Amino acid sequence: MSNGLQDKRAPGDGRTLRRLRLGLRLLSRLRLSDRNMLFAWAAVVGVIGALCALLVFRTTDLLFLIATGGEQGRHVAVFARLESWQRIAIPSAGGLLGGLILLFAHRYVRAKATDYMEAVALGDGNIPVRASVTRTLCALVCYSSGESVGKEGPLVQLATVCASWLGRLRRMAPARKRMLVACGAAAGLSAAYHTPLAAAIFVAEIVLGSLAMESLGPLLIASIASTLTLTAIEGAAPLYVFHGPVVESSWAYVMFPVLGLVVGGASLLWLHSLRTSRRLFGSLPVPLWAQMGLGGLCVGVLAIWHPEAVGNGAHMIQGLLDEQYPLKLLAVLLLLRVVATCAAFGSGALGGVFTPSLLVGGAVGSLFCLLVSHLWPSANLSPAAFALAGMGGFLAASAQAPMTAILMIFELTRRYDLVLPLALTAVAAYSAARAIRSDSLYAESLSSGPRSVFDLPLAKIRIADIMRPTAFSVRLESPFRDIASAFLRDTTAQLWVVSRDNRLLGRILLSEVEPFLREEDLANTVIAGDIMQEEPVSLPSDIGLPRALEIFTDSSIERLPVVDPATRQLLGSVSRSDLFLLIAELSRREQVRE
Amino acid sequence: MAEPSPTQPRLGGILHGLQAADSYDAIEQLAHLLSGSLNASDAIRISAAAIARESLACTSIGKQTALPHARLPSMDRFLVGLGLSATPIPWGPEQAPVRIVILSVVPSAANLAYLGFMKNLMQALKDERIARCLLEADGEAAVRDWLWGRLQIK
Repeated sequence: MSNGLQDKRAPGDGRTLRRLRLGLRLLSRLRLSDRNMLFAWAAVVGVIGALCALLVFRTTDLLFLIATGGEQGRHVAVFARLESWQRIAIPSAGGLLGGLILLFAHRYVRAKATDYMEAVALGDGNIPVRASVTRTLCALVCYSSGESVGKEGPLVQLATVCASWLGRLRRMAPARKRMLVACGAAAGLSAAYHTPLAAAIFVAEIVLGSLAMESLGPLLIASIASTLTLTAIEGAAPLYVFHGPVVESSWAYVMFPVLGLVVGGASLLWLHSLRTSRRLFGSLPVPLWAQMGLGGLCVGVLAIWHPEAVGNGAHMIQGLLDEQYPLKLLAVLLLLRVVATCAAFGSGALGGVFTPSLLVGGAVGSLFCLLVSHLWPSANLSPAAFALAGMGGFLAASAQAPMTAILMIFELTRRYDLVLPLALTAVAAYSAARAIRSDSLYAESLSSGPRSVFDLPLAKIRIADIMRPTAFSVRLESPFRDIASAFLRDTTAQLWVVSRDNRLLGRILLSEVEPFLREEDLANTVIAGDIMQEEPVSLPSDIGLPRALEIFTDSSIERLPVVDPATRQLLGSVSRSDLFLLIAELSRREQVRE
Repeated sequence: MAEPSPTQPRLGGILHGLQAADSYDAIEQLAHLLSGSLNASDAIRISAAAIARESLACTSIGKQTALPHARLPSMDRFLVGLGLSATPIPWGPEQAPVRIVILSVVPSAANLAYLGFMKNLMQALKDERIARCLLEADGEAAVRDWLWGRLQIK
């Protein structure tokens, strides 16, 4: 009788071990640290963001075709061909249907939808899937029916909900999940506008409030991955085409800061109009779906007069760059667009206000240029260049994000000679708006929202609040074969060794066993208990962040196990970078509060 | 001659004519043998650690051989004890017949040395003739020669 190694081994073991060896060799070359893993996930989220963009583009194409029989992206031209009653009926029906979708969501979907900014800036990165999908559907209907909202809203919502779901699926720590959702937002924006740098900077500057490489790195990777994916599938071109000269006279450099002051003031009026409109619609004694129908009706009525009232305004932005509009017509259209967007936004129609805001800024810039040229014909100013500078200034002031604004307009047109005028306008606009009121287009999203670990005072946060609920572990008696499999499966540099009742006993370092993982002879003869390091450094789940930071500082280990202080049962793990991300975010919020 | 490093395996003793009722008995005898190189209390700690290890997973590997193992944080050297039995010792829950027992006592910080030793040992024991040679070896000198030649244990 023999129970030797050869007898114990199942017939497929040799093949499995050979695969393990190959896998481990590859992994040892490609082994990723926690930080690099975040970069890898950011790239995955970038690709998902691009696919979400394609889904949104195709869905809006289809919905617009159903609603109007026309080609998507040509809202104004299609509406111009419609009968008056159709111009009124389509946006009204879109608003009504969008409202009914929200009503359905309110009744049948338990979780409340969370905006991605709330989820990142205030929450813990969790975005409810079903509530967000119905919200996205509502936004798609509103946009496709010609309401004056941008399609970047549903696009970003979809990309961020996918990122949040991915984070939950991988059981990531809250700080990491927030970062992944932020990557989803950057990927979505990048896909919507073909602006990878501006999208990453926008999310870092406005949502995360930090341009530190720790957060900017993953955002850039996500937005670049998104742009590359979209380019590979659909090709890439600047969203807006501008061929003319930017500056023909030195006087223009004097006028750009003046324009900045004008659009800085205009941006405050814009924010005031949007909020007043929301307040007015909210005070109406009718349900939300009726308010949304009414908002659509307003847009439709304006479209009888001028079809430029419908859509997100992208068509009109290109018109400004082609210098199609004379002074009086432009003044009328600007007023019309402001009313249409306020009606849509105020009534509760979901969608982005980014593109409509760009249009208002561009129209103010162009109008400013036409007025100055009218009064001073020899100044030789370019209305298109002033429209672009106006967009940048308006965005810098209304979103309180000058860097994003400069990069965004530069990437939208890919004209390097615009950077200087843009910078002059953006800085002046930002300063003017801030001198009057330090409010932003996104203040509402960033000032309310769900309570999370990030809202707790520093002294009250415990390690249990921020840990990842899983830790890679093997049992004390696990054979070497299982240890090799765990290293391959979990791509980790260390495994925790636990007892049968899950008490933490030790750890095994990959570096100590890696040279032997290919040894079939050791598969059943060595067990985890033979090679573990005993009494590993661990974090009791009830300690606060300062103590955790001390433990991390004393240890060179990137990820530490979290244990129950009474029983030493393994509860999860926390990485050094998760802790640093959390502390950075808490500091940022502390500064904002001050 | 230079002193071997703490992680290099050294022969702690050979027990010809090992007579044991079961695996625990065999481990205790070999631990006692190794404690000659250490001190008396070490024998108890070695047997306790090796028996605890044995209770986690049986160390019989077939070919009439068992490789019990004790890992002690306080050890300052890597010791190997060899026991050869004329009659089979029933080993582990399956009562596998064992005539060659190689007990290793390893410092906690010698993982690489331990895995290297186990690898060499397992490769050497693949040869069917080895067990027969060890059991039929003509005296302790022949066994020592084999240990040195195959495993560089002196």
